[in-house]
Amino acid sequence: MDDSQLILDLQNRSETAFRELVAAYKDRVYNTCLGLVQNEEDAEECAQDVFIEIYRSVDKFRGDSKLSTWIYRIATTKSLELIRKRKRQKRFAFLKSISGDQGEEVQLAGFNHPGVILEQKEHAQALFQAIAQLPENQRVAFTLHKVEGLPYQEICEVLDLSLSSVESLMFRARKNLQKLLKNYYENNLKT
Amino acid sequence: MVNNAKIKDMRHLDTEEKINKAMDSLEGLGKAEAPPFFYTRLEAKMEQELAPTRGALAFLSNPKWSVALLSLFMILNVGSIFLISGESSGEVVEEAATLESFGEEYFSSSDMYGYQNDF
Repeated sequence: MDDSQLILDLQNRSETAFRELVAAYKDRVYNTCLGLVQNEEDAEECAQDVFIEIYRSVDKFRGDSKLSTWIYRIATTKSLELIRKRKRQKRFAFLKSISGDQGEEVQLAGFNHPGVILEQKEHAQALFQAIAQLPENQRVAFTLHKVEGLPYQEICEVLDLSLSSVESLMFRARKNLQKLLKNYYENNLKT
Repeated sequence: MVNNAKIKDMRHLDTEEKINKAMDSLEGLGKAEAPPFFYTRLEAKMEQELAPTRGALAFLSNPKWSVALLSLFMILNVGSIFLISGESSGEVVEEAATLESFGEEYFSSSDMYGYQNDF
């Protein structure tokens, strides 16, 4: 089924069309969310929220962009919302711990993306830790390119930026990652 | 001293190498797949989240309507409190007046019973 017909059927609340949409996009959405939120449970929750949002707002989809672009846009938005929520929760837990209320201990395990080659796991873990410290726009651009494999042109469409802006984001992301990794490895050498 | 400088250089190269390896670690990255039964779990979540949008009380799922209704209840409550307190202060005045007239009737002036003192 082509995209325009799929969108029409979705707008008519066809369950078959929705099922088809989920089947076609769930892996891409999940992989994108996973790359950004760096946690499998959160990524599944986020991916579910993406499809719920698609269901809710498909009537507003004007067809200005490709369906995939629109879906990636929702996926990155929902992922960033979840990241911000988790940061607020961590801040709250920290304040509680200062006040003496220990609560549950949160284990901050390094993130292992299931698609990483075995020999690269340790380095990839360090890289994902560094990615998590990037500013949001650099984090999204870098993840969409390196994890989801989107070309720069498609990233432009998802983020609604010019090609030069995306190139600039990627350049700054790489520079920042190198700095963060340098600190990480130098601190590890000292210990 | 020469050895320390050499060690420092080696560590520096070592760090640079690690940084480069980390930056290249996502080459050939496989795509993660959505977990099994993703659609089933999605359906269940949609049932929960989208259910309030159906039925007689569906309008309450809209925050504007909920806030408006809550404000109305608060105004009615505050208004009722004022009304009740106004009525009860009227009752207190009435009661005081009744007691006063009772007192006047039976206990006000000794002259009424002055004849008793003559004896």
